[in-house]
Amino acid sequence: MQMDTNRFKQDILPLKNKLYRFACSMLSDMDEAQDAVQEVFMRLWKTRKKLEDINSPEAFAMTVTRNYCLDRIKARRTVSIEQTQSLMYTETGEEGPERIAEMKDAAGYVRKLMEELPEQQKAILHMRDIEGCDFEEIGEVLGMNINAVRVNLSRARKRIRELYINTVEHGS
Amino acid sequence: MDLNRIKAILADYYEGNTGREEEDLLKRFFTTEDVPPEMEADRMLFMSLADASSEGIPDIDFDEKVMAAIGKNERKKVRSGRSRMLYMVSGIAASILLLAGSYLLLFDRQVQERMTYDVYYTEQEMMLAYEEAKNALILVSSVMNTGTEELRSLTKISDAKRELEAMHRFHQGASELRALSVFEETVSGLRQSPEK
Repeated sequence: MQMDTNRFKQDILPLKNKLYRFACSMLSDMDEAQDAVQEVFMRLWKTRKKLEDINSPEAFAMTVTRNYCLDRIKARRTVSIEQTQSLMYTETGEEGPERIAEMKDAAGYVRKLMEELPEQQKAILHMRDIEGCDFEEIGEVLGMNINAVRVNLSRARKRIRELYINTVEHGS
Repeated sequence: MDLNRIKAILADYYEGNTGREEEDLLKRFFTTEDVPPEMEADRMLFMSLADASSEGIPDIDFDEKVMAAIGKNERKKVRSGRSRMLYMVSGIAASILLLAGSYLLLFDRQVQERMTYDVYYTEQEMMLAYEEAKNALILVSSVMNTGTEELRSLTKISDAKRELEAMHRFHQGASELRALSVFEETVSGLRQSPEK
């Protein structure tokens, strides 16, 4: 069946929240994530011929989102050194009790900790524990075998727990 | 719920060895039941993962924006394809018109001119016109000759330049000689120093 605007609206557009959450995890910025999803939809529309042929448009959309976010992250890294240094300073700088309390309050605190994970582990943890994706799908999106997915998922989960315990112990 | 069972599944969870059902069970346990304090870190992890999975795009007009952007893209593409065709066709038509027009124009004028000469001028008149044209051309050529005569004085400049070049060579030679004199001074200085 040919991909027209109606079918695009019906089959592809409903992926928006899933793609948005994924972009949020990767970019840690809600506005940027929304822009990213819009751009991803434009790209999907341009490659709609390809969308007709593939088995899982959802996995394809996730792959496009991931690649786009990685590009954005790479572009961010090339910002001036001063900016990077000031960012590093605020991140590693002393964290006052207020900040700790504020972070502890929010359930989003653990998501803040997720930002510390390497990109791949972050993506795997997100896809499995937030989106409930199959290992096969994760492997397809990230271009990894299932064993590697499991190993990295285990590392990510353990790391988050460890980071949480460390900050709580040092914060109190 | 049996806490020991939960702990066993949780251990598997951290090893990446749980299936979807077991993970759902853990999620239910940590978000709805009383969790012992030693499992606080695990509870926080599950709470925040559950919280994150309900997030969505905050912009309510998002769908319309995307569809409008797609529509614009589509229309532009269609239009550009059609207009490219139109450009090509009108280009070809214009070239044909130009060729046909210029051929007709030139052909027409040639025919007309030949007819004009044939009809209105006698051979004598035409010879006269030829002579007049020849005289005019001779005049032009003579004027041009005097012009080139004046240009010849320009060669003097190039002669002068050549002489200046000779001067330059002389100057170079002189500076080389100066270098030699420095050498000589050094040698004589050396010659004097052993005596001291």
